[in-house]
Amino acid sequence: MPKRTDIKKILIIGSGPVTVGQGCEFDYACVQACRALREEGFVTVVVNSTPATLSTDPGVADRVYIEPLTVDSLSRIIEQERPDALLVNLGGQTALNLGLFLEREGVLAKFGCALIGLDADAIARAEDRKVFKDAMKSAGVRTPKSAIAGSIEEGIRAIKHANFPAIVKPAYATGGAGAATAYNMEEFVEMLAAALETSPIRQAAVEESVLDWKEIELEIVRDSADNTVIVTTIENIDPVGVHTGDSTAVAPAQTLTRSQLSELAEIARKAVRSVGVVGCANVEFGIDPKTGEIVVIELNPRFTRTSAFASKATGFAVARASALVAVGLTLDEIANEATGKPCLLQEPAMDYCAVRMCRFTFEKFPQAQTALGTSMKSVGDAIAIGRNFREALQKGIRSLEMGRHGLGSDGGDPGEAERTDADTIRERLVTPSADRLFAIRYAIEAGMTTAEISELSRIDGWFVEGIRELVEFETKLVGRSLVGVPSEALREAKRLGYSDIQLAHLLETEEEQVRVRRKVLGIKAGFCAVDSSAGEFEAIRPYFYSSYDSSGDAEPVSNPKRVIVLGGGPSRIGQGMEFDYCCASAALALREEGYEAVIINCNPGAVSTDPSISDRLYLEPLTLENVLAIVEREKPMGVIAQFGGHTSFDLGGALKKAGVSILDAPERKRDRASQRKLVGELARKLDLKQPENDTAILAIDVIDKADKLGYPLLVRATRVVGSTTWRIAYDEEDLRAFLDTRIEISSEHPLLMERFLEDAIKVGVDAISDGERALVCGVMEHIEQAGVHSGDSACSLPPYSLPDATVDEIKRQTRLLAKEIGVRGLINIHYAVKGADLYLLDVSPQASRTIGFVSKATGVSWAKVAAKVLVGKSLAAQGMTEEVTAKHVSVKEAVFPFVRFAGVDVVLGPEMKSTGEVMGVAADFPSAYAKSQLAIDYSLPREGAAFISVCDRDKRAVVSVARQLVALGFRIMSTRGTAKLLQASGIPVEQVRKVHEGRPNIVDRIVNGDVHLVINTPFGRETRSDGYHIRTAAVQHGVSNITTMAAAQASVAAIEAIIRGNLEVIALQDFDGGLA
Amino acid sequence: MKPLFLMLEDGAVFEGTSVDSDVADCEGLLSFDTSTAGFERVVTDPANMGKIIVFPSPLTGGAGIDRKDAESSGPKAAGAIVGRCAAHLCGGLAAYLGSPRLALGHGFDTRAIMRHLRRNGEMKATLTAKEVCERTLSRRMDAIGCPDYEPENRPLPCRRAKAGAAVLDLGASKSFFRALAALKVRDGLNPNEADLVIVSDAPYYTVEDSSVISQVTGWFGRKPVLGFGHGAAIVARACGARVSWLQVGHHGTSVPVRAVSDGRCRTTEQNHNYTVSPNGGLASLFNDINDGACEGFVCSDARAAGVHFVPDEQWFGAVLASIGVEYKDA
Repeated sequence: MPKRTDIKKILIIGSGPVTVGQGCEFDYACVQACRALREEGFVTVVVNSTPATLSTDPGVADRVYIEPLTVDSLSRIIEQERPDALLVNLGGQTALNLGLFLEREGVLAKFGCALIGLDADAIARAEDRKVFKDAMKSAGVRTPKSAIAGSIEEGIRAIKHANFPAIVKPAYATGGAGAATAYNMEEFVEMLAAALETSPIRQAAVEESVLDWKEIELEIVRDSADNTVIVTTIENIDPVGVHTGDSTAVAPAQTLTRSQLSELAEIARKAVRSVGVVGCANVEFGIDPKTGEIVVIELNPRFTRTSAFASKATGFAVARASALVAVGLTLDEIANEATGKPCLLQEPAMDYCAVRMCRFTFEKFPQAQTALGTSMKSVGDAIAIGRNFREALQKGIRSLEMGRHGLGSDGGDPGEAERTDADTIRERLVTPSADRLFAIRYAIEAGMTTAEISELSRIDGWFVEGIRELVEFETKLVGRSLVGVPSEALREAKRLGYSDIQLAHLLETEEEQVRVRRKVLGIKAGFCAVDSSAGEFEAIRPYFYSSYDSSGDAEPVSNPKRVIVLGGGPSRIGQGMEFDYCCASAALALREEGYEAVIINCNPGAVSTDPSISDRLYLEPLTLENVLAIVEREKPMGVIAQFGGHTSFDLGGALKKAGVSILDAPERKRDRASQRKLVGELARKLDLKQPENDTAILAIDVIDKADKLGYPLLVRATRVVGSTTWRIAYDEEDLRAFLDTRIEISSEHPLLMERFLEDAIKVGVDAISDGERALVCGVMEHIEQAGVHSGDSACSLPPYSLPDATVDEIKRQTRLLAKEIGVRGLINIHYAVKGADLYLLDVSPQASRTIGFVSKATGVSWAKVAAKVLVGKSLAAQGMTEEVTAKHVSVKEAVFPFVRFAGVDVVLGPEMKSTGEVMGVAADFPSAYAKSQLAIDYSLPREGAAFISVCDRDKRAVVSVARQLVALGFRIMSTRGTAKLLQASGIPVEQVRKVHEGRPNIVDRIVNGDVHLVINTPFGRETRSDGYHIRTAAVQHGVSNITTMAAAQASVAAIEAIIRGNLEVIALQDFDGGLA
Repeated sequence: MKPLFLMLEDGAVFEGTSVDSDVADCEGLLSFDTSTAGFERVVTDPANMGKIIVFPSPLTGGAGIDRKDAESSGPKAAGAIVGRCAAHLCGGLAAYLGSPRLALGHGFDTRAIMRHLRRNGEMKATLTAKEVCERTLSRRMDAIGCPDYEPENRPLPCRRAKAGAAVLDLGASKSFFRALAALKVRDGLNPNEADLVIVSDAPYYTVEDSSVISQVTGWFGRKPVLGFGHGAAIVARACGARVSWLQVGHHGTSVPVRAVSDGRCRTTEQNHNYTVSPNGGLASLFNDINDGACEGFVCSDARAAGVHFVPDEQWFGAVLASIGVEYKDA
């Protein structure tokens, strides 16, 4: 079927900020779709609210809007752009839901815009639990028995006909949000209430539990002529009951027979046909391991995180196929970019095993439950490919960068007691968790049989046997020396995926020695192409994985203009898509300059791991061993390490030590202490102010040193588990409590202490230098005061309250610092402004997470400029001689995952907790801030009641905020202290009870929906206090919750802007001065 | 486990180990199958007689061996080469699948073998416990014969048949008969009573067997004839068409094919080494979307047709119509 000629302009909705359940994979999907559609001659319009996305780069789409993803702003964009079609299946659940609401509210019909790929009926058939069940039933596809509930009463009626445990699933939700398993009536009622609240249509399914069944997913693409292609089957190692996004997954499925695979494929075809999917879909199956009975648990009629994994694991570009079939092309008319064959109908064949490991960040949320369940908790994932499951699994574990270098025997295993205690092992096997695979290892070591382990964990015995093979193999190594191990055993160890670090641990030697020994014995990795055909066809767009189980494919032809860009690894809090945006931009820039760009990364959802971004891609762990092997093969002129966050930055240091040419900073002081010392020296030399600070390498010195500095103190330490942690200590008691947590204080991991500047304004600056000239890319004034992690704070570019003289001084100091450090490329500096004083807080010679935001705010892709600088093209040669002055205001706001982690305190502090960011652009600060708030799920209210309760420090400032709110028509509620103050200032206040003052109290009022805005600032480090309960209730019930006075002031201004109702939508291309 | 060498006609050698310690050397056409599961199905398919098959999938037998999936009473391929063999297959496969025994080697760099086949084409090879000299290799290659196939699979009963056929069984697998039953074709009929004669799939060398070709030619003018798999190449040859050897055969479960009549597409399961040139009286019915090869044809004069795959009901009906056989509604 030929492509449609009745449509010319297509609007693509992105997924918005990264949250748990929606990650960078949708940017990857949108980029692929935009490229494919533009190649076919369509005009593309992209809307997204998050700035660090390649799909919102003006070069990728024809028209770009960074606007809140709401019906209101989408309606305005549609009215303005008049697209012929709307594509909603590549922007996650957010886009799908928006598409449906725009259709239902008549916006699409009004402006002659049609949903393509997936129409409203198809969305409803897949997402509405009842319609989906009916559609499956009529197609003869078995689904778990279930009933639909629109209220608690309906749910109770439904559950009477089912047995516990039962699954409660909200309709139209993403990442398993609000889904839970109820084991009794009490839990059920609670979970149903939460599920109804999560569902945008207040509907939930109450389902028969197929808990512990085997879980399989099929990625399928269907076109309008009913052709289908199964991209791959994916087997989740964890059984049903653990969200598929949290489960370790393997592609292709390993434990199914050909007949079972054929049956699943047939059911998947029927299911997508009956829903009416045109595009990609992901079908989740449960298979009873005892009887082989199959049920369809879910069908996602859109691009998902699994689609990204399936794409990268097979070389089949799912998003591209999905976009092209949406415009009428059929799979036989779309060329396969991996093999060069003329059609996409041939199912990819795999001669390897791909494993997806999930990245969790429980260390950021100490109060959160670490057990895994039906609601997704991971924040990112890594893909690893090997020629066998064990090789892929061990590579996957080290790809996560959690301090483990394989499945144990790496120096990171717990003590003897924990590994051998039968009760502990049993408990760890029964409870799904992030490290259950390690528990299997310990269980095997403790002598448990495969059947026992499988019975307890419900993990297929095949996987347990795979791990057993590793444990048994290690007996061949233990007790031997490196030279005493037969070369065949060493070779086998590498085939089984052991890293040099693991081998060094097992053979009691050093990693470097293992590498040298391997070289002597000629044991080196082969690099094989992911070619979609198991070697049958030559890959024309190859990307590679390493394996010791194959001699590998042909070596690349040498090229003196080849540069390797190190990626950022799996997304996590603190290092997300903002860095991947830089890596991908850098690769594109290098290619523009005629260089061959090679990317190394292991994040399956990342844009940088789209093979079309680079000349060659390696899906490999970002470890010294793996990267060195690639460097040896590629022989690049240099490696760029400044774009992938700490992962690449730290790796750059190790590579430099190993003699690899690093193109960024000439002098790389890696560890924090020397970094801090460097900043101190710079400050002294350049006569810049710094908060008083000190470091301690002995725990006993800490209190003395703290006393000398004076409280409050900002302290930073390394956790025993390897990550770093921050805390503000208001007094000695606070500091002692911090020292009692699992932190390490040593010469290698010193405790950093700095006088905390209360009520100071924090300012972040991104700058660029080519060694000769330094330019400020952007100065960002943080809205939250110092003490809140810069990644968690909203910020404004240009600064909205700082005097020009201060901004000029900040720019002057930045240029001085950049020049003094001698950095080439990007540099990020933080300052604090307190009164008339400017303090230098931190200097980091690498791309920061704000580069994407600054690029969008200024209309310059700074990562591209930096990459070109690094290969020798000066700023002047790039025409970058003047600072870019934006004529509009851009505000960045952080997005938090609190709703996923019940019980976690939502107060912001020096420890970063946000997963993503949104951006608001407008002519003035209040409008830009308002847009940034609208872009977050819990947007600002326009009316109703505002609850205000602030600490003493903020009491003076809160009066004017309350007064403004009253003027805007809000009612004010307060607890006794604040109420008294406000009443004394002539502001009408309704006094409400604190939590411990009896009921109904403020939490009851929030739960009952009486409160629409919460302004609650904490004092010091309170935990299970009133404030904690209030903030938690607000988050759980979707009430806007503000925890700093600065944010409260900005929010009030924003509410005023929203009420005024003149938040116009503007394409980046149309800004005065141009953002394009 | 002993070392095992795969020596190719062109001199290339790959090394692995034998799974069964006492398996004798074997020779055959080195071919491949890229499926991730279904080892038992492939090695027991009579159409794979005389072949040594490479499985590039990383692990063979991971999901176990399902006797139900076997295509005949035991292994028919001469040998199989895998990357890694699931532990339960090692040592037990021959006993499990019965006689004749299958030479099974593992620990081979199957990707390197696939790359060699892709560049140099499928070719004869030997799987041997000892490396042999060039002369011996050449002698062995020359001596590769054409093992006879004794039909052993039986047609399945079919209710409410839409057509009746006599099947010339040259190497029909169990799933071939299952497919015919699903297409509502009653087979096992006396040719004189049947609506058509069906030439089943067959080992690759049967395409060169003149006695078989004469047998098929003998039906022309008496009954419509339809060939499947290598049976299609035999029918084409009987029609006098040019049939040529594919450098790399079509062996897979999702080979994309387009119908010449209406442009509709299907993914098909194929396992053949020959392609037919539609010339003279032959018209192409289906083409391979990847390489344009003819995957189905009709010779109206002879009322004969051939398809390299088993089509679905709709396409089967169209093929039958092209040779004048009514595909009756049940």
